[in-house]
Amino acid sequence: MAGLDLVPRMARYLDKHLIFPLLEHVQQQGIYAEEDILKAQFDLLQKTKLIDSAIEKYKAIHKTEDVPEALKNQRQDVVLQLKALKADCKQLLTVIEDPSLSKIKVEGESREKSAQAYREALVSLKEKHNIIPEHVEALYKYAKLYFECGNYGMVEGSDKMGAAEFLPIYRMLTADPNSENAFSALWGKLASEILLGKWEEAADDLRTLREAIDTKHWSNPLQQLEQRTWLVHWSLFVYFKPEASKLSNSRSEVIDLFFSPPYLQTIQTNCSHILRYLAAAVITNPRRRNALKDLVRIIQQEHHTYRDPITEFVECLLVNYDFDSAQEKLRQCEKLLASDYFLQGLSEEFIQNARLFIFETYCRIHQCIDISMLADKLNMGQEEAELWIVNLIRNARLDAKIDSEKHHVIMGSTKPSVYQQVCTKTKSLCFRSYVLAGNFTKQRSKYDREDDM
Amino acid sequence: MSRFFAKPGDSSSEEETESEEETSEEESSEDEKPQQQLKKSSSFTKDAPVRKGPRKVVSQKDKRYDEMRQTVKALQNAMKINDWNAIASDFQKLNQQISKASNLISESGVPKFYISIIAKLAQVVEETTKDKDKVKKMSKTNAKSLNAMKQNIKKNNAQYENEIAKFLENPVEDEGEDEDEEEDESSESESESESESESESEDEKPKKKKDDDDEEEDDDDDEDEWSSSSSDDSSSSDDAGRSGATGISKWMKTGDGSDSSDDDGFEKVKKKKEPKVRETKARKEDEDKPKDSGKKEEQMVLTEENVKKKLEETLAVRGKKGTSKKDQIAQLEVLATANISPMMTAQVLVHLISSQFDLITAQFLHHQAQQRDRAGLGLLPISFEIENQNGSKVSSRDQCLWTKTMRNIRRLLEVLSENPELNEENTGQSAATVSRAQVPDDMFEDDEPLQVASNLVSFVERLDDDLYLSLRLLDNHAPEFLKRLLDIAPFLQLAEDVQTYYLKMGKKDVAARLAMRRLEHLYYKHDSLVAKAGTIVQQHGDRVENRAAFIEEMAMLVYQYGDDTIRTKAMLCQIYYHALHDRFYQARDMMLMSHLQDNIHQSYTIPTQILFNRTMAQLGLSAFRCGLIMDAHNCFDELCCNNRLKELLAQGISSQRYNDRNETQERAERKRQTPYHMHINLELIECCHLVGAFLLEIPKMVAMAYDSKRKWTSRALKRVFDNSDRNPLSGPPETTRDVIMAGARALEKGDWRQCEAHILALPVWSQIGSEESVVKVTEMLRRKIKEEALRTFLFAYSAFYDALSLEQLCDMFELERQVVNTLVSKMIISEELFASWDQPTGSIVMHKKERSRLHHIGLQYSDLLGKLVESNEKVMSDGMRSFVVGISVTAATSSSSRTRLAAAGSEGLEGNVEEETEGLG
Repeated sequence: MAGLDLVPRMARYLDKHLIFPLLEHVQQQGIYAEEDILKAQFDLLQKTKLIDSAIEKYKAIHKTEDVPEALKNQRQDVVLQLKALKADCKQLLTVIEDPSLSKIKVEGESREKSAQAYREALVSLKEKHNIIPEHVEALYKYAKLYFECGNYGMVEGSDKMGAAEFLPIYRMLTADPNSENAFSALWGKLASEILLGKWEEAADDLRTLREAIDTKHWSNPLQQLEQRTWLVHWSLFVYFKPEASKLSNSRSEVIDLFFSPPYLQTIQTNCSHILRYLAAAVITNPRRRNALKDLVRIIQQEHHTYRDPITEFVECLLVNYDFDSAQEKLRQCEKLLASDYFLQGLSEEFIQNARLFIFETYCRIHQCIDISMLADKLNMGQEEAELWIVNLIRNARLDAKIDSEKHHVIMGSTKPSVYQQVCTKTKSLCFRSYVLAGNFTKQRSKYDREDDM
Repeated sequence: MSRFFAKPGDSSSEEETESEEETSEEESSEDEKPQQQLKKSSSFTKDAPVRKGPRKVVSQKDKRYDEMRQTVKALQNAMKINDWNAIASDFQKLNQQISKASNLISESGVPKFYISIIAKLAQVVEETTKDKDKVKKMSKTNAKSLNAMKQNIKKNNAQYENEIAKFLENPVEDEGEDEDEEEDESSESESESESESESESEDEKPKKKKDDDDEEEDDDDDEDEWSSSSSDDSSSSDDAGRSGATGISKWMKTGDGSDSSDDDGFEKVKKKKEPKVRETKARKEDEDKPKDSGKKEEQMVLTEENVKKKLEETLAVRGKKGTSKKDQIAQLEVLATANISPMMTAQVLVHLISSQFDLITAQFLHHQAQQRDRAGLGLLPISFEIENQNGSKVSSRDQCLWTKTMRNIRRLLEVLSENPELNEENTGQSAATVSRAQVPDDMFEDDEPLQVASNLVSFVERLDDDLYLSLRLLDNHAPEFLKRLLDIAPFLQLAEDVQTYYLKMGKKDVAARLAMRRLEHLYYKHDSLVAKAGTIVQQHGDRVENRAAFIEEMAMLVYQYGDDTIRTKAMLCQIYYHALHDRFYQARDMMLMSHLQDNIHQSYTIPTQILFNRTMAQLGLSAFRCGLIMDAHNCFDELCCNNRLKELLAQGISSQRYNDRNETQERAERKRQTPYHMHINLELIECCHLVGAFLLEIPKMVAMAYDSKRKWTSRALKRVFDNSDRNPLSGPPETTRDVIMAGARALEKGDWRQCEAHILALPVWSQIGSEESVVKVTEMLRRKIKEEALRTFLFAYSAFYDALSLEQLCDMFELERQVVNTLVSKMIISEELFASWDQPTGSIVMHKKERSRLHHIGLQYSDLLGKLVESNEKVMSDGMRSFVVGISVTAATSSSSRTRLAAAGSEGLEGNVEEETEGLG
């Protein structure tokens, strides 16, 4: 099982703080030795400023109550730093805490409008209070330190501001919105939101960040690739962690994101293990069946660099039409899904969809199927299977009849006539040409206008 | 060339040619002079000290005098043959030279040889005019010239009346010469061979000439005069030494050596190298006459001062036509052994190495010239043969020169690395800036620095080039070829050491160049081969274990520090290496990342393109070995489609129908040939390509039997098919192509047994790699053939069945249930086969539906329409706005060919995978 665990592969592309939930998860799964995980956590904590947690871990590892001096000193240092930075941006903090601002936030009706108003008020206050760029930069550092200390942002029921609040303010006030710091602020905000579990905000941040990465000018394409790789990994939190009810929408989004050419490239060059999540997203999203073809292609292309039960399942089913091994793989998938941090919640949905998937494919090439065999294949009892098929037929998703005497499912004729085929093939042509023509005229008129000018 | 050995008194026509040569090679004879004088003065041993004179003679004077002597000689020749035209022009020239040198003459008086020649000329003129018969026989112009000459000489000689009178009274020199001649005569053969061994080929000519002169012309009197103003101390001292007591015996010895050589003068020259060296050394020991000049310095303690001086001297003559390169090398070799400061040693070595290279080049050029002459006969194959023969001569003889050069480079490296303070600044010096005639004393001080360090690398590269060249030229069955192959190992080691040196010096870019050179010698060898060889002999400059990492390391160095061209090359080498070891995906990904496929034909040189082609071929082979027929086909397709495989891989000149190349092109092509040991088996490539192609093609062919406009996957295969269709009768297959064709025909009928029997019987499969991979490939082929046969069978005959049982199919094709299941399912899904499984009975039920031709066309038409719209959308979204106007949206009726083109463009391995790699840049 350890071989299938992706934490070591993914950790490279995650923020230190984002690794903790993953580590905690593997700790529960018991894939690795307890001590190793504790040690990894401790090492990780030492690199952050979460000194209190580090001290706890230290105690857990060494099973003592004594805390080394070094850690204590570190704690002292962090506190001092925090104080110093707070002093630096005190002036700005007073502005931020200005009641007029919070009022805007509360009163604002639509989010966009309020954001706009907020920004205007902030800028005017900034001028009023004579805030200089140094203050703004200090705010960035302050926010960063806040984040490193685990003070990610406002938690429900408390008024204390955290990194998630400071960073957007920094971005609004900073002189150069394209600077490195402003860019880092975006990442910081996203990380904070993720850690706070505010998925909607996080999704917004993700979109902003994606845009920023795409539009920013990179001197080295490698850097851009790196950034995209990070984004791909971070997005897993945003798209797979929210509760199941909100998932379906985000899963569509993740398919869109991963299949967009630049990100597809990123996945193929840098992190083919993401294919697991992409495959899972596609399978659990019956509305995106058309993405399957692409998925199969990519999995085949990458099958020499990455394979796990999920991609193998897709391969067995859609490349080899080997239903027995697909079944076998599905069983493995079940275990895998349960142990994967991001896919935990999807497990059941995945299995259901995969089953349906097998069945559909099976039906496409068969005209007569034995129900008992099918039940076996679908991992169900015979009665259950019959019921399931009946349901499918009733929902008109399947053109079939059941021969209850022989326990057979008899498929309706799947072969459309030639005329029908021609019709289906040409059906969309009209519309597509129309769109094309529309686009063309639109563009031509644009050019004409340019010419006129 | 045999005229070098002509006895005196040979026909005069020969002399004529010689004299022509003399005059035409004015420049060279200038340098030949010392040799002559060397010869001459041997009879004047006792006088030698007198003539020793000041060591440094004003060189301008020498130059002038040399020129004059030159002309004088021409005059003498002309006189001998009574060519008065020539005499007149030479005489005029001589006078011009005299007047040019007027200030010299005013200083030192009129040179004696001038006086002697004009005196003689006057005499001859007088005699000739008296001899009426002779005058009558002359041509008109000649007679006219004679008359003019008569006038001229009278006028001219009036100026020098006194001197002439003095000269006529006392023509001592003539007698001296006669003595000399006698001596010469008595030891004719020795002196000849000796002179050869002493000098190089070009020097022989004048010498021989000299002998003839002496014998035939009594009044050839001025020779010793020349030496009085000699500047070349080294040669005069040399001959002085030679004429000592030991002289003759030494001549005998060396003479033997050269006598034993065959008649070909050129070969002789080569052989003489060794004796020469020996002699130099021998002389060093023998002679004890203290002289500050010439080669004498060997016997002295080789102090730094002396070495420096000697080096200057040697350099001064370097590059002149007449200078013996071998001589120089020998001298420099001796110098290099001297116990002097490392800096000096380095300098000496630098010059030594470059002269060695000069020699190699000279010999090579000579060969090329020879070869061109013979190639002029017009018979290409023959000229190629000859080239090979010549090539083998060059390399077998050069062998020692090459290894010597390598040894010297290694020494230079040692000197440099032992003395890290030595770098280009203080070892720098350039020979090129020294003017030919003048050797300024301070040449070491104010020379522009020439970088020894970068010299070192260029030496190594040069060495590599020569090695490669000889490997390319050699006949691959000649034993010499194997010998040269053995040289690769020491070279690799040298390159490695030099590379380490440069890395230590921090010159990473240079190190990268060296790494590239090494890579070029390593990438095409399979690990297992090296390992096997490693059990017998230690592999110098290579690794037996962990070779992949070794190669990778070198390639990384090049990627990091090399320039664009060698980076590309290194990349290709690494891809080749991966492919060779069946790491197809790795190799493919690298190839795609490099984006070379797009621009290889535009932005790279032909050798790089050849390397690219080789890499593609190897990539294809590796795909084939891995059983990836489609990928293999994509790799091979472009290489094989034009029947130009040979040319593309530079493995032989293809004889072709459209022979529109001219000679230069052809020569250039021949220059690019890959050495034999690097060849990829052409037959294997073709065989893999055709087999792969028919495995892909046959099922399609059967499935789309109606479609007359069907596009073939492989044009090469189509050609083979067309050819075989054209044959009215087909006999049993003989060639590989025939066999493949027979296999394809069998497959067409679904007869996999027959097909397998044909294909697997091909002997060429044993070439595909190690035994292991042969077994693997055979297995793969057997499986593929069965699978494709099943598909073909279903396509061809499914219409005649209502249902087929799975069992039956399994039996028919000896395939496992699972495989048949997969194959048939795939066909059903992709709508190639209109059928479905009946699960309870385990059979395929065919959906009968006969399609009319109209149905087919209708379906095709709708497909094409779809593709058209798709491609239009693509064009639109690609932002190629200018094209949007061209391909109008409403052009739904446009010809299907364009649609096909667009569709084809969007397909294929490259199109798909390339996207992935774009991000890497």
